[in-house]
Amino acid sequence: MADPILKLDDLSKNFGALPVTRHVSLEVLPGEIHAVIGPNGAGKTTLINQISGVLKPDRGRVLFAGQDVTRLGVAARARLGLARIFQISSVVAGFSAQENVALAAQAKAGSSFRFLKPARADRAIEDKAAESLAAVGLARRADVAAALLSHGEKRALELAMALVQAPRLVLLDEPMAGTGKAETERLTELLAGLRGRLPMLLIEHDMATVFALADRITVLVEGAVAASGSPEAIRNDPVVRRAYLGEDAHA
Amino acid sequence: MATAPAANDNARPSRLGPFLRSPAFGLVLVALLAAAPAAAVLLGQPFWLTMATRVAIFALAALSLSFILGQGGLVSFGHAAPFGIGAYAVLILADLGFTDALVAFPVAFLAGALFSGVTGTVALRTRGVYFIMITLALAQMAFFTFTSLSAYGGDDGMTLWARSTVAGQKWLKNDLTFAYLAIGLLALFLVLGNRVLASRFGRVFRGLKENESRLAALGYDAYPVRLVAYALAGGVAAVAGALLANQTEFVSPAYMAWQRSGDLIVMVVLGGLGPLHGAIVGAAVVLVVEETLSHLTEHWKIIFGPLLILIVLLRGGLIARILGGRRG
Ligand SMILES: Nc1ncnc2c1ncn2[C@@H]1O[C@H](COP(=O)(O)OP(=O)(O)OP(=O)(O)O)[C@@H](O)[C@H]1O
Ligand SMILES: [Mg+2]
Repeated sequence: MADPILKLDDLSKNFGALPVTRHVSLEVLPGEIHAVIGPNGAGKTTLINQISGVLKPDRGRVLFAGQDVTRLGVAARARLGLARIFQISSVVAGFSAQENVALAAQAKAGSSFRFLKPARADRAIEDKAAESLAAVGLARRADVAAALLSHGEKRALELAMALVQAPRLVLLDEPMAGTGKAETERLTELLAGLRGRLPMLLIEHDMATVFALADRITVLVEGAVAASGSPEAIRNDPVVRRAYLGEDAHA
Repeated sequence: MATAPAANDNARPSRLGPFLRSPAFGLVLVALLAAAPAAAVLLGQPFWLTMATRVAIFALAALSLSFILGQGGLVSFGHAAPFGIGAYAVLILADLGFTDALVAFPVAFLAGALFSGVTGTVALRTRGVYFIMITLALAQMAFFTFTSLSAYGGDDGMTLWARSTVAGQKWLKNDLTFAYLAIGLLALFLVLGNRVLASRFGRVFRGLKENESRLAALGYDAYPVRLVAYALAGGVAAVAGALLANQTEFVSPAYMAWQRSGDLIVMVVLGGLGPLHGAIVGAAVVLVVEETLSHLTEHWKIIFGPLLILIVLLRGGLIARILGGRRG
């Protein structure tokens, strides 16, 4: 079996007296879409924050691309190839869609300490950005300020920013939250098209999306792994049905 | 796309706004300023020659602050420190026998950049109100240091023997020539500043102001980028200080007093916190209002304060509406 691209080793984190991550160990294999599901407040975003470096775990280790990154900051982990889509869309509001993606591409293409040449004169970066925007269906919105994009378009823009970096792993925190049905379907199709090439850790409440995309599902309840396995195994797991899927049904 | 709010981006009410924010309008402002000295001489109004020169000098200082404050979100309350250091660079170099501008101005730039670069390593580790306070505190340290330099007049400051020479020539004795040097340097740094903002570096620096956590997630470290911008701004402020020392032929610690830092912030805010050339408008308004009101009463700041608040309030409403949209 190939070495995992991401490996969480006994991660634990408390907020004061509240344990939000409890002895979490999980892996994402190359090319795999690993979904993490769980009720609101289960600690999914907190887990992502520890993987991306926003939060430091109290104990345990984060291994990324074969390297212990537990002590690295957010930017350093990103430079190793870790991309992220935030639960609440995070783009540069005053930049156009194109410039947002170009900014993402620029991070992977040489030094940013160049002072006099206009950034937009760099054809290679601008073309890559335009290509990535087209891939998520935003080609016609390239020159619109990100602040003026619809909620769903911002989600797509964030995805374009992640993809243009050719990352080794993408962390997706509820990419479909708040998007319309048509957009959800389109984004799901886009992500499905990346399966096998781009590993993802996907957090998502929309079960149709999860079961359509995931190669493996981990269920997080109150900060701890309640179950982990193939989509079929999770669908039929009595513990999961009681703890999460059942609850989801009347939520 | 189906759900796109198509009306939004077409809803900009005027075309004037984008033009007023464009670098082209900055050049228009410089051209207007450049007309003033010639007009002053033709009309026999030497006072307006001095005024235009002062506007150019303070516009340059305010422009350098606007670079880090308006574009980078770094609210420095100590920008008068590198400004004053530039003035002292001219004085001290002249004292050591280096009276040429070709030496003094580059050295002033380096001294200002060095001061900002070194103090920036401390200040840029803080955020928000702490950044404002620590830049103020560091500038006050510079202020008191120069106050205690008795060899250079201490509190009182010192008169410059003569204006800097240029390649040995005493061209700058002529006030008209000097005015055009100041305006020329303003134009140069305006163009350079806009170029830097449009560069790869500028893109990251501008992005950091709006969304630092997003840029971190893309792999950008904020600190080295901000430190370089902060040092560059200090260097340009020092060039403005070197000009002021030459214009007044006098240098004192008052150049780096906290009130001066406050004036520069006021100029940037009045100029709109947006494109760099707003600093030209801000500097002109502050200096002209100061001149006019100080003739009426020595307590002119009591009038200017409320006036300022009014303008800032209007900007949020009236002026912003005329300009249309939030930014360009
Ligand atoms: N900075 C914080 N300080 C204290 N408690 C926090 C903090 N952030 C989150 N929490 C708490 O930690 C728990 C886990 O939050 P988290 O955001 O990780 O949940 P989640 O699984 O992402 O939920 P959702 O599905 O609503 O996004 C919640 O009880 C939340 O209230
Ligand atoms: Mg969450």
